[in-house]
Amino acid sequence: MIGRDAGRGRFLLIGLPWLWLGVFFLLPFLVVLRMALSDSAQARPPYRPVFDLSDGLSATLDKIAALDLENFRLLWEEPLYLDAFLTSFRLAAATTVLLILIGYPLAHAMARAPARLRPILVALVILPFWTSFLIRVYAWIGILKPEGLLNMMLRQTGLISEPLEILNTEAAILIGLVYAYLPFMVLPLYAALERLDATLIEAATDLGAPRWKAFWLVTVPLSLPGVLAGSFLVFIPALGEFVIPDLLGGSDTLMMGRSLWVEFFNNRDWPLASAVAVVLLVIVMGPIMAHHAFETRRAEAERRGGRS
Amino acid sequence: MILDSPSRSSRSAPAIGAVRRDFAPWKDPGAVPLIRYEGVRKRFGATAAVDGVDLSVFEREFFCLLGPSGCGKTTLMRMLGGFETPDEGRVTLAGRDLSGVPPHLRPVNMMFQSYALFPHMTVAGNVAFGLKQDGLPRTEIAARVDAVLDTVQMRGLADRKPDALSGGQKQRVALARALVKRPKVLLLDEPLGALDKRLREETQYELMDLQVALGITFLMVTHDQDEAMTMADRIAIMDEGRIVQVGTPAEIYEAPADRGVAAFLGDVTIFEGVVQGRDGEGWTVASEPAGCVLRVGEAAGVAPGTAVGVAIRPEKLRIVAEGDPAPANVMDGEVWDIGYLGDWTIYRVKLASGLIVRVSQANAARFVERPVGWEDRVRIGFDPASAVVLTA
Ligand SMILES: Nc1ncnc2c1ncn2[C@@H]1O[C@H](COP(=O)(O)OP(=O)(O)OP(=O)(O)O)[C@@H](O)[C@H]1O
Ligand SMILES: [Mg+2]
Repeated sequence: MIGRDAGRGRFLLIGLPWLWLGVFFLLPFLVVLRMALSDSAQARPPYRPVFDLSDGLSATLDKIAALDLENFRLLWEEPLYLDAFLTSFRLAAATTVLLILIGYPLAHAMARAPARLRPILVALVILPFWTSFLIRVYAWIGILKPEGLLNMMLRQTGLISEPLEILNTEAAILIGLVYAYLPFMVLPLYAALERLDATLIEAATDLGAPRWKAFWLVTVPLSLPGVLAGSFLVFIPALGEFVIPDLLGGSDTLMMGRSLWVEFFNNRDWPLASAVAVVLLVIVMGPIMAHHAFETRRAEAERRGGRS
Repeated sequence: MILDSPSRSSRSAPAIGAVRRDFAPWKDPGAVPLIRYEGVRKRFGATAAVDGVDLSVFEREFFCLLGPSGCGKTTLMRMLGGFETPDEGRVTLAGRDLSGVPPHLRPVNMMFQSYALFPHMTVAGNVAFGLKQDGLPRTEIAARVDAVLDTVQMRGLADRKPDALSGGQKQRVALARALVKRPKVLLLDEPLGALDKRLREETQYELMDLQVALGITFLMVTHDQDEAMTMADRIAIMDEGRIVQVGTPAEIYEAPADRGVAAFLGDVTIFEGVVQGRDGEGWTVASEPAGCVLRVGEAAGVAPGTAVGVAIRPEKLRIVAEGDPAPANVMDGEVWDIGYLGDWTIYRVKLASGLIVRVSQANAARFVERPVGWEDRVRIGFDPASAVVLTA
């Protein structure tokens, strides 16, 4: 009796997350994948599904053999999409690097602040979330536009005579991305640095390391998991970001999220848009798997207690 | 030697307690201290963590800072490591003023209370860290790391990460890491705090042997009096940021400076009283709690009428059996409590005044003819020279 209850409890405990993943991730993914393999059509919905639930097994296998992967081929062959991928990748990578450079000192200062100030500092970092994301991005338009706040200030201080062209450039996208994702970098970094035992730094200096070297040899390696976590939290969503490039970027900067939107809503090419989504997912899965492998190896090395 | 014997007056003052080793530079007026604290003060907000400390520690000395929690021991020691700066006064090492010298340039190493081992490095990596900072050649680093790990018997675990070590093993690695640089002074902040009693006692003797073998000056912080008594050449008793007494373990135990030190270090019964007059070489003290006039030995700074405390340790009191010669001071009481500890038995004897006196007796024989039992009427006593007269 007890055994069966315990068994059911365990099933619920393990089964629920799987069920959740199945219903809200795997199923939608399969729907999108099917769409990506289909041809577009003048219909409602605007595509002709390749697979059908009424197909038998052999019919399904035949269909798989006959797949032309036309949409994926198009993505590969059409430079427009490849460019969008590369631009997205470049901007997401630049955002991540910039955020490490900005976020690390910030998180470090927060973690070293007097203990009673720290909760306030954390609250300040997440404070912007209380305002709508869209409003904050629009505010950046107001700041960056030719007659905006930034140009006004620069002109009044006499640093420039002609307004800087920032809005509708990649620079504007980068500024927007860095601004929007700052908390996602700072919070994991702060968590890692705050947990770091200050006496370790003292021990390093006691053993003859100057402060900068103690920082480099102790603080940095021990906060690496935080850097990695922050980088993933930033890089992955930045890769597929749509709102910021759409509002701050020019029409000539095409990113993946943007092309997905264009195919879906402007061209009504659902299968191609789905193919973009699938590719995006696959690209993002790569680093996630790498991270997972890294973490597993690290945990294993720690368990074995050997050199890593 | 303690009994009133005619030969006593002709001899110089009797030596106090056990003699440890032939090492007492603090008695040599020509000796120059290695470490000097001069009028050092440090405040944290409203609390004065260190409140005017003057202290000298000599080369090769094993020096202990002992005191209750929060009395400023760690702060005082961290000033030598360079982790706290004195608000006032200065700290010198081998004659050199350490003000403004950053920790990494000081020839002292610290073994941290929490060990502070680098979790991302192996045992060997931790120990090699300090040598690498000095830019020594790789082969020399490897040789010295191996040697010091041998000393602390951790060579076999050189490739482990600290997380995979037991408390005692971590403690050894921390010690090795601090020792490998051959510092002038090794600072130890409650180094044995995390060990169980047995391992702790073993390690105490190992540390003492190591200190003598290496010839390094040890400055150790502890709040465990037994540990300080066992290990130190000299002890400084601290209280509320001040140093109350400095001396060898025996001096501090047998001749405490005041009531606080007497009570802090070991058990003691203090009979409050007033000095009546001279009694041979000593004094007589009328004590109401004792219920009699006590005869005590020579004491400095007293005169008839001075209020004093006569402090007596449990092992220096004894239960006087019928027919035995009675010592100079005897009191009658009732056995209130008996604690049998195996090697010792502690009797708590209640006097007529209500004062409870602790008397301890060594259990030298397995069986006693007439054992003392609960509520027995007993007579206890002590010799004049066994008591300490406290004026503060
Ligand atoms: N960084 C600090 N900030 C504020 N107060 C401090 C700081 N360090 C120590 N203190 C205070 O100074 C006093 C002495 O502290 P210290 O750590 O030297 O005591 P301790 O004798 O080592 O005690 P313990 O035996 O508990 O380790 C304490 O009242 C403590 O609260
Ligand atoms: Mg302390």
